Amino acid sequence: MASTSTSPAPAMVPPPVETTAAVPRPRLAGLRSFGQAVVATWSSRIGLLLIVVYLAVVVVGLFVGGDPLAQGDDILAPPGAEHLFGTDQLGRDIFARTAAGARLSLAVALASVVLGLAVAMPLGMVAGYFARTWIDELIMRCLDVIMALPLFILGVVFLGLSRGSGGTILGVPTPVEVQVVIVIAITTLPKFARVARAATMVEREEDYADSLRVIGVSRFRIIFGEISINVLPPVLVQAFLWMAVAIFAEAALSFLGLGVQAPDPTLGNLLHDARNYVLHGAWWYSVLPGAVLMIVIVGLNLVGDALTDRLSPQLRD
Amino acid sequence: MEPLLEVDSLRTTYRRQGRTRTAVRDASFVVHAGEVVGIVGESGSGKSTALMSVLGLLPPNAEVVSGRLLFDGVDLRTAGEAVLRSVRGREIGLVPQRPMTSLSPVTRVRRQIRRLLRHHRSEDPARSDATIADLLHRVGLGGVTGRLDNYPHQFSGGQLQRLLIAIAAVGARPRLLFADEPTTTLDPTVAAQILRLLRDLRDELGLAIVFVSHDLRSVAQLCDRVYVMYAGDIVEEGDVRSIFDEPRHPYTRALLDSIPGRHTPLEPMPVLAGSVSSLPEDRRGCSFAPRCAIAVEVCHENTPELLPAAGGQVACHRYPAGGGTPSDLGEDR
Amino acid sequence: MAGYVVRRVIGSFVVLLAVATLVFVLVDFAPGDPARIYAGADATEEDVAAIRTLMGLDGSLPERYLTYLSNAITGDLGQSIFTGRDVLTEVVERAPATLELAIVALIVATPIGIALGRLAGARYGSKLDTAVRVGTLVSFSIPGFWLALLLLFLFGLYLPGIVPTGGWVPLTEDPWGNVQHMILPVLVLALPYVAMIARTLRVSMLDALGRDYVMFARAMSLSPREVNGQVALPNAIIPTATVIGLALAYLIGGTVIVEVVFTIPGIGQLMIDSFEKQDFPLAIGCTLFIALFCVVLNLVVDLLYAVINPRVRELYRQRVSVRDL
Repeated sequence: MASTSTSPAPAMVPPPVETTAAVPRPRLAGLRSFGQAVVATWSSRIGLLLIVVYLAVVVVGLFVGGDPLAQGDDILAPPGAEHLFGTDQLGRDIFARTAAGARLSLAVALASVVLGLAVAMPLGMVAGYFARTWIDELIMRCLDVIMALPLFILGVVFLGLSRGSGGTILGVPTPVEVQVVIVIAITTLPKFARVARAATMVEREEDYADSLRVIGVSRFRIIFGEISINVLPPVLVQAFLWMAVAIFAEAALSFLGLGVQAPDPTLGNLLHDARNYVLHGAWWYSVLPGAVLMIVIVGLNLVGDALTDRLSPQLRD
Repeated sequence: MEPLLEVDSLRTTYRRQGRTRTAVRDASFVVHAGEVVGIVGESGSGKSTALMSVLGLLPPNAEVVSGRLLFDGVDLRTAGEAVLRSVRGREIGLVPQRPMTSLSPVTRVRRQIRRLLRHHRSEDPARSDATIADLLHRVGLGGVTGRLDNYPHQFSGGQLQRLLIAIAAVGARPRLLFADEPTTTLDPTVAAQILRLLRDLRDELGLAIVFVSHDLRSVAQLCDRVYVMYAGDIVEEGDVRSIFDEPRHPYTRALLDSIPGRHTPLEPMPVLAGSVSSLPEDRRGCSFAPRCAIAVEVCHENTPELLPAAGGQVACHRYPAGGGTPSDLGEDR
Repeated sequence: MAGYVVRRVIGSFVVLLAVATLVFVLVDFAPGDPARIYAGADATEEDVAAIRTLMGLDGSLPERYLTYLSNAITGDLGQSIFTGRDVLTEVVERAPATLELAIVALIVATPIGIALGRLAGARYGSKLDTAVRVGTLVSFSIPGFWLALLLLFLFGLYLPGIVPTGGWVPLTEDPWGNVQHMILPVLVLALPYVAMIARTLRVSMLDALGRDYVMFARAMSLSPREVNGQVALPNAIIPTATVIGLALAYLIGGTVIVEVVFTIPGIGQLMIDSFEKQDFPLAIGCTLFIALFCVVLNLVVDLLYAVINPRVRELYRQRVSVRDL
């Protein structure tokens, strides 16, 4: 059985002779240390490499493989010199489609995370600044309900219904990409807001916040000016982690036929199409685009792991 | 007589963010059967680390680098995990520093008592409720026998500390008890009761106790003999009377001076400037020299050895007061 | 305990109500005529009018909402546009496959995840820990639908005949066949779940092993096995239980995908099909049922956990959200 001699530092033994004087925290110092964390371990370096590979596919796809929508005579051709990833049932170049899909998937994921941040950060910071008041209570209970909802299912309903009604939201015509962005952004809200709230509650107690209050700076300026800068690092780490979730969610929705519609490719709807050709032996059709998808998710998670490791001592106080 | 525990030149280091720090610096101390030995010093002076080194319960980033840890003639440092396990609890008990968090919060107290005493001698192998009730009576907790199916957070700090003492000292019947600042987190009145309890148990069970504390008054109440630690070094040793009446090391003197009430009300209370600061790893000279009022050049140059002095031992270049060098003292021996 | 149960049950109702309301809003605010959406694109004007009256869509907004709610509560979910059968009948027919998938995956994944997390946390920094850490990260990152396609290749094309790669037979008809059909779908569903549980538990084991109570247990000569299993694990499992609950939604989402890939006649597949065919009454019936299942499963996990670990009730009383731990 496992040996407990490798258990972590118990609080029982006092730390070695060392004083911990309070040092004022320089602005955004956190971000710099996150940069160091990313290159510190092998696993995060590999993760970084995988992300670079994904970005390389996106960039190379702009120049190689041709038009992702151009059909050809060479139908379901296996990978070769002419078609790096082979062709699909319409003779389209799968590498070009994968690259274009990777680009669109990335754009959708990025947009959802940014939208999620834009909504959740102010909410979380207000809740954190007014922690344990009715404002906090109201915001957090609402987010609790969101968290308890089966969001994936609701996303399916949302997209399914709006497709039936000609792609509009509350009567406003909305491209399906935007709808997917909104659906995914909503799923990020509870976590982002929670992290922003926790970080704000810590910052609120710092001396600088007190001094600002004393010299009469308005609450609005304190929260969205001074505090927000120091709340950013943990929130950005969270946002980074959710990039993987967002890419995954977009792919899953597209795979179900509910996301971006053909002929525009995303990594998900490529696999949706590929599904019908599995038993024809067209392995390249599903294996290669799926591998690209997995590469970026593994990469993001590896780097995210390193970032959370760096973050956790901060969250513990 | 052979000592029960003989710690010889123990050196324990911590690794932290790539740097190594020495928490215990070649410390030696002995405990005889039935004796109450105090180890005093400020937080961070290495007292607890020394005890945990003996029990082999250091955190993974700490390591015993050198020294011998003889318990009953067996070196615990090299004996291996199996021997250590047979010693922990059974031969050497531990009363922890923070009673409130030393029992698992999710398990009923009765179950934890049984679990913790599972490997220990007991007249009643079934560890019946009657045995547990008897244990509790022995530490003055007769009143809570009806609440044993509660969880730890439903007890007070003092009650929990009595409970832990009942388990570690009475239930497991060790020959030696390590009490690691057992009263620090308790109210003064409760702390006094715990001290009295420890003293009674010593008399009753013939326990030897190592009492680690930064509170000199508790030490004075409980201990027969005292070691004074500063920054990982043992700087003075002596029986409790001589330490309090004629402190020989300037640090001991400073510690005694910082006890309120040893001075007349109008006299300003002396305060020892500074703290056990980050001393450089490769330091030379006496660890206390930077804060010492009577330090001279030699104190910054050579590390003083612990040498016999009247009524004990002291590691100070300035002993006997104001004069002497290590070589002088050596000749005195 | 009773208070805790009541509060959790009420909480579940609030979530269900929120889901139902959201669905109502999505449907009611959809452009054009909800009756037309329900009736489908090819319906005649008379059909639409009839449906409007039938569904109580003539009334004001609050009236419509109340009609919808009372219909949903009584199980009157309308008829499928394609088959004309009651939505409830269709959904209940498809329910067993989905329920079995999700529950079996949960039952398979939880103990494996706990075992891995406990092992890795107790041997933090060892080779085994690294293996678990990397292995779970990768299994967590594999998109389920891609893994399912790979398995289709492997067992459908290259190694045919070992395990079925599609379809489902009810347990009551052919128990052995049922088990065989469950193997691949459950593998796909359980993998990320195992990883999630193992990763959470690993970290909380690590945390628990550094606590004072572990130190005291070790000082009382408890063996590493006893310390890990009896002292550290019961504490470490609290945050993990929360993750098990929170990830249920993930699991249910996974069943939709798995049903589609492995052509399992479950509610997920029915829902996706219905949306594709624009059979909205049926699609919405599926949604409400899945939401109900999700909420009930969550409630069961929470209550089971409160039975095992009483401190959860204590925390609840103190209005500390377990999620903040």
